[in-house]
Amino acid sequence: MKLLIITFASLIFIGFYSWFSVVFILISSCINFYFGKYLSLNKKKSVLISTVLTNTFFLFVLKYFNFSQGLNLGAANFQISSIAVALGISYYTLQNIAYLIETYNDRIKPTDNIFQYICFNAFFPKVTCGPIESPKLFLKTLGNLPIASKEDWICGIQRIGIGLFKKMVIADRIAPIVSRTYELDVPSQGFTTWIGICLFTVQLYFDFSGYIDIAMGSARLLGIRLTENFNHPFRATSISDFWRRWHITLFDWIKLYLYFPIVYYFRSYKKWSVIFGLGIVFLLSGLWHGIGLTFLTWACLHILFITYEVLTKQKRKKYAKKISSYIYTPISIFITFNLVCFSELFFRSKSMTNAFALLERTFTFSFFPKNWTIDFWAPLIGGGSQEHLFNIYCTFIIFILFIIFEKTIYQKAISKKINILVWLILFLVFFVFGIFESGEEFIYLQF
Amino acid sequence: MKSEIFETVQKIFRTVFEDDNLVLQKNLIADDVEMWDSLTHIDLITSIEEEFSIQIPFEKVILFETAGDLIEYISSVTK
Amino acid sequence: MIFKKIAILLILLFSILFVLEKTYTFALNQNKNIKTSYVLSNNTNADLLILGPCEPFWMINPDQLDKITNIESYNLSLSHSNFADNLLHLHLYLKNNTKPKYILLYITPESMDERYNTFNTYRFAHHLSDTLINKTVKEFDASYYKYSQIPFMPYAYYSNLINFNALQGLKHYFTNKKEPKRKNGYQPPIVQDWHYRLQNFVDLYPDQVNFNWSERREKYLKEIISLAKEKNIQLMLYESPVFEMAKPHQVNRYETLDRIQEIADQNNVPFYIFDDMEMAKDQSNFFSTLNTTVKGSVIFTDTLGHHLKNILQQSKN
Repeated sequence: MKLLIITFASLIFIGFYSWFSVVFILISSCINFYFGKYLSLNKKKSVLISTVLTNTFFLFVLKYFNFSQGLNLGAANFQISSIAVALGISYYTLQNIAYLIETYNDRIKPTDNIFQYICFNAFFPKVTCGPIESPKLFLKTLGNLPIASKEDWICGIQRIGIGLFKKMVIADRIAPIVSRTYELDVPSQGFTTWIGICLFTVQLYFDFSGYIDIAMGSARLLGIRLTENFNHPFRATSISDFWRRWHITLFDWIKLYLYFPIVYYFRSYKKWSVIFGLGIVFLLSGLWHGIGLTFLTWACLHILFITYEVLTKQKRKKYAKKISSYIYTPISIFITFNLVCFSELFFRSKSMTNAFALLERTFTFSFFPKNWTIDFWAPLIGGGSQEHLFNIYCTFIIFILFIIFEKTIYQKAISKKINILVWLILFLVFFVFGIFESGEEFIYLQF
Repeated sequence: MKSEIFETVQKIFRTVFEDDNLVLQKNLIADDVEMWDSLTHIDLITSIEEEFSIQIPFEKVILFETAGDLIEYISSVTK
Repeated sequence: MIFKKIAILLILLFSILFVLEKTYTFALNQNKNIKTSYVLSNNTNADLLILGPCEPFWMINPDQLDKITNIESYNLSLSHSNFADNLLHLHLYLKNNTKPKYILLYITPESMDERYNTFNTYRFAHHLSDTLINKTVKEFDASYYKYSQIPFMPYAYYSNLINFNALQGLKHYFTNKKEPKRKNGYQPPIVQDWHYRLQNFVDLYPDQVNFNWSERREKYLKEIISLAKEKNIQLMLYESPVFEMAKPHQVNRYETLDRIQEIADQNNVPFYIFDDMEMAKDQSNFFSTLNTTVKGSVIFTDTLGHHLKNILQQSKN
């Protein structure tokens, strides 16, 4: 009964976005539900392959269709309120494929409850932007819906609060700086442009993980625990480590259904199979995010980085032992962060021309600003008045403090006991510094 | 029979992970061994396949969680 | 236990927000750099008020104008403001100062088009207790108005534009600052190069501009006219020179000016259009189609000053 209500509510939620999304998710779920049952009884590989391909086909068609309507998934992709024609299709398609493969391999028993399956895809906290749930675990949860305890409500609400904070206080404050940099609006150069470029990754993290927090919190209110999607990615000490901390469920899916099978199939080629596997993994995840040369570049960069890491892993380990971790770790984190930001530059840029223009701006002779106010702060915030400076100082202080104390904040803010002091501070910062309305039209023209 | 397999597998582990002192245990997992990563894992599996003249299908390989699982599988297919 | 904690948290939060709101209101009223706060706390008592958006704000320096006209003027203009914004500034000015004899209101075809200039809600956040302001904010910014019922939200909503001003207001209070840096309300333009994004003046009017007459703009223009009439203040409309090369791109410029003239005539309000000045041909006098550089401003203000002087003498006779 509860399942029905949740399923129905989820469909209504999707309906607010578009009726087409509802229709499509229903059709997709029913078809995959049926084929899950079929494949568990009939081990026909051809059927598995064709159903998987059909799911993939629809995913790309509906995303490509998006393109022809003049929307650039490249720059806008990080706006989680997806502009996809069918809401959530990128996520539930992967879940569907996972389900088909698992039932075919008898690793799970197909569900008999169609509503359970529809909910598996449409569950409103996670339909918009994940996390991508494992069929085994999530279907089991849905089959045996827990009753939300008081602890669930408390933790859930707090998690939603943190998510809102991250989005409205941090991500939204950084957003105009990033768009100004990427639109090449202001004649900034060198270090200033580079910081603007890096801030995209920061913004993306707070925006995306903020939404995920809201998703996790909402699910928790119902007593359901979803899979974590982030694990302090800015503390990653290598690119490989980064991908174990960023969009975890996507990469777990890719590892399980793409990477391992490919590498295993070509295992006789030893390390080349690993590299080939990595190539496929990143090319396809680039495609999953969007179609374009920029995503291809992003993918290739990561292939390069990880291949290097895989091939030099033992050497680097030996090297790390020789140097104190107090030096090695911060340097690794610093290098990793910059490499990630470099690749994200292509991810965010509207086009390769835009990306190269930004790079040209960055790598100039006078890299560091001569005058910090005029050459660094002012171009980033779009003005050099005291007011502008005050606003950008606040933005930087808030997000840097948050990143440093993130673990503590989570511990204290999302616990069974409500920590009054922490929440009072969070609320006050939220009210005083949160962005409720993009008063940007005013900001831009303010002198 | 099982102890022979055990000995052979231990030898392979020692070669692949470059550790002559490695002691194979049933509950050994990747985290326990310094050199166990995606590359050496491939090495490990292919070396075992070569040694025992078997082909381990993918669906079985991903179910292995410990060295013990691997050894169980080998004994079951080399009877 | 939990509910007690939540209750404590909410009570503390709302109390702090309530106090914070009062503090912000106080602080913003102390900030002499904010025109509304300044005119409400000081007696400017000018004879002539200059009103409008960026063009008069950056163009007409009372120090220069007054030397020619021999009367005292105050520049009440503010950048990016539409007629409603102007009206509210005028309304607040009249609350605390003796009414001026004249109001000089800038008007150009852009003024009648909603795409140019706007109502800057954040400027009135600390005046929401005033009926007219409250009503106007509700009309222009419905979502803001909705949230403004929550403590501190009037300031939180546009925090990026208000936080610093509040802090500065506190500073002014504690340092006993009585006047802004520019007492007469004029501010020279900060940027005087052609807008860095624009290579060509025509970029300001891409593909030619057809001004869309807004009923709401007309309504607020008429509100200013009737307020002036009610208070017995002589209102004058004027348009400063437009960069000559931009004029052909303003497709319905004269049609729009005629319509404005009609409203002016109906209400016995003079409308001075400075359409034929030599300076309008020289690009070095402008940094956008309507905004003049300091050089151009001095030239225009001189002409304006003499023009006004004649009118004032005529009205005496």
